[in-house]
Amino acid sequence: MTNRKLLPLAAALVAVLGARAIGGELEDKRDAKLKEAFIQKAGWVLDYTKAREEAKKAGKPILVYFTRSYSP
Amino acid sequence: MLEGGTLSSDEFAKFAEKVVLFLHVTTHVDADPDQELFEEKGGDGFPYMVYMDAGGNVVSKMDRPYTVEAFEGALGKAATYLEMVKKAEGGDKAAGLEVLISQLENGALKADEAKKKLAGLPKPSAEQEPRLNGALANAEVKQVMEDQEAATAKKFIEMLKAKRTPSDKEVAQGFYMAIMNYAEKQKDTVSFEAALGELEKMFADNPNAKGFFDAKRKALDKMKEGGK
Repeated sequence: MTNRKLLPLAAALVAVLGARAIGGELEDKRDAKLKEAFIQKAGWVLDYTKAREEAKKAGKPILVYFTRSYSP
Repeated sequence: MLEGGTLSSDEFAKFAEKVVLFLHVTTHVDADPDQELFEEKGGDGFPYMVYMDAGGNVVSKMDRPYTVEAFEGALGKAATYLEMVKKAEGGDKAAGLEVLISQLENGALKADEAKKKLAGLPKPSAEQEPRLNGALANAEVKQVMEDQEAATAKKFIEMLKAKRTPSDKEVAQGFYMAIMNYAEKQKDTVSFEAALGELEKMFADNPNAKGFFDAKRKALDKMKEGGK
């Protein structure tokens, strides 16, 4: 692996550690995200196990929306 | 805006009655559950939307634009795929080929595995052939890259065992991270712990690193509990 490939790994580590620098802010950002209006409007399930159980019970597929709270 | 637009619309709320909606938020909060799910399900950028079956298998991936019409279209594809799976399980080889192509398209099948399975399946149709070739090439590229990463990590592990480690801090971070990423996948607790220990020394004076290292120590404990 060249320096060009190694440096992103190092940068990723620094980014992860940097993210921890803001400590409790990550929890605050998560909590704010989970209060957004669109979640309540359509009834998104937030628990992976529960979503699979509901899908099995109802015989429906799961539409999964992956998003993030740590940055816009 | 996806969340303020399509996902907040009455049209989407009505469509949602046909499916179970699951929202996964990557938070970087160590204690939050299923934080690895985004990568596990093939995500490489946000937003990322897929359909899964009740077993958690990706059956259809969504592309932009994220409109209700597109959700309907992908839902149709997901339903067709699930029907094909049933037929394939019943011994229908044409359905088996369609399932294989879909699995390749969804990143759920490795190139080597697909090539072995193809040997027992019928020739693709004119519509299937370009899909199969493209998806197989995608899988081959991914496999080559994974093989290269694995070869690199194995070389680094040899160097670490021989106590030949980089002196440059930035290069060393990449070196140890490459080892940890590979060792975690391989459940190689010895290499993982050695690389983790070196990184902990490098960041000993950085209080912000505690959460990261605590999470990695927990991952190590889990690996040890599970055995190699």
